[in-house]
Amino acid sequence: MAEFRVKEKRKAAMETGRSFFDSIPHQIILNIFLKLQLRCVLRLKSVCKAWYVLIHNDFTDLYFKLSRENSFGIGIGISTGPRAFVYDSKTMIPYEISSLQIGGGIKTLMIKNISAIGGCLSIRYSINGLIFLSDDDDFYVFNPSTGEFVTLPRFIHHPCPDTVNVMKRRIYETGFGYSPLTNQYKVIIIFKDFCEKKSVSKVKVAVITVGSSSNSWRIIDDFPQYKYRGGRGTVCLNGTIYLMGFCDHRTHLVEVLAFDVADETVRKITPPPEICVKILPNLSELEGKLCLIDFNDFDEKSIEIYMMVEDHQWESRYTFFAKDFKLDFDYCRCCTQYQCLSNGKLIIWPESIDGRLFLDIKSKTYETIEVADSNFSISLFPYEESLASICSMNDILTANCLEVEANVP
Amino acid sequence: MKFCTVKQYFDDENNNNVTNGIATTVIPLPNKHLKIKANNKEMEQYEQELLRNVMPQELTKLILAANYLNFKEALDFFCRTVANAIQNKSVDYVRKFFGLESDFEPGEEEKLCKEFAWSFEGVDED
Repeated sequence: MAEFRVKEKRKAAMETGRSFFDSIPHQIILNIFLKLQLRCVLRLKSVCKAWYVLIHNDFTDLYFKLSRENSFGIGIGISTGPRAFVYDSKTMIPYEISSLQIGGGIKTLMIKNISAIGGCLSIRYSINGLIFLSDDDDFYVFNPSTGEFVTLPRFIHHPCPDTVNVMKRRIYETGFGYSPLTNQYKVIIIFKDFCEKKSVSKVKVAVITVGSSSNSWRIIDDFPQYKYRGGRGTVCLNGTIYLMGFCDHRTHLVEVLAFDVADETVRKITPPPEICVKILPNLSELEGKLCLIDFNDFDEKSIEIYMMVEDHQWESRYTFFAKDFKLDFDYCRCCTQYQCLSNGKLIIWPESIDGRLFLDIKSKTYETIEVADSNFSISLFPYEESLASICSMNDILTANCLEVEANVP
Repeated sequence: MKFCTVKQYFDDENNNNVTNGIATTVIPLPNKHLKIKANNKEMEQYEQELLRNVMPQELTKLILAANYLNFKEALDFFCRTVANAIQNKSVDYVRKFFGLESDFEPGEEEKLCKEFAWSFEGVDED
């Protein structure tokens, strides 16, 4: 008898539930979901089957459609805490990731307290909506929209063999890439470990597969011993991470290196012969191809974009003459960075001015956008939101993804 | 203007969509909106007062009323209230709020939790 009563109550509750939820048009429920953070909505897939279907299909489609329509294609990373002046110590700083919107607004995706040396964090690269962040001591990979956040295992020095000197490390470049063949994300570090006062050591590459249960750094000894200028960044395209190095100290010739994410081999690519070698060019991605952005200081100052086509050949595709833009900044300072966006714009950000220049490559028009206060350290990077997951499903089911942390709002 | 359907409502006496109680809550809103449009904080307080004791079921009726009356600001406001009420709450809390029951098999739900394991942490206590 008691059982019958319980069943009746349940039935009544369900009836209320059904009338409660079903009477609200789906469009309005979606409207409510859109006012929540994406990670909250993803969690609500577990509420019931109807919600699972609604969120998995309609909501996800709507969310990313709106995201694509409204976003400028640029992500902003800002450490909003005070800059620490003690460069050896780690401090927790609040780090904020936002997406620049068309019309100049900013959509905040994530704010998280992250430990950083000297309070200095920078975004190294972003691919498939995942972001790679580091202070050259710790390495983080995360998806700011879904909240998945992975702290990579520490890359520890080996001690000096003589046990007297301290092993020091110089990191030249860090890269983040994805291989569609193996469906894996990897982080690479170009570095040199050396004992103090003894600099006979080789430049090496350390590689780690992100989000895998076998989570440890592998060192590749055999790497071109070029001179690497840090800060030029890397580009990942079609399962390859590209970076640049000076292969000849005196002539300043550069070489483009291609690191295959799947098989972890390196090959060399000769850049276009016309590039000006006084200033290291920038690598970027345009129209689905690797491109080199070079500042030409010879006769007329100009910005040249070379695209890499078949067989690793280069084509000079676009030229912008400095005189056409009548802008008063120093194009050829080493710190001027150039990057291409998927919407056909070129970002120029010289250190000397606060705003960033957005050049439309096809129409050759430009606009200046102020991005936050220049007192904070800012990273700007091409970015589009996605649902990409860092840890592969296999590892999740075997619960071996030990480094996964929650993003605590 | 904002109230295209209100005229229709008053004309149509056999209207079942909007009960009187709800109408008294929803209809004064536009005037209040216009009065304190500039002052966002005051609006927020007014909104808090208005909905402090409203149960989820009432909220549903308010939403449906605002939708029927084609009153976008009110609809947006009520949706925002629901969103704030369930923001960062556990799945169970949200189920109770909407009066829903889980119709998953036990294994299925567990699999789902594992798929988005990181999103289940840092959730408010019920």
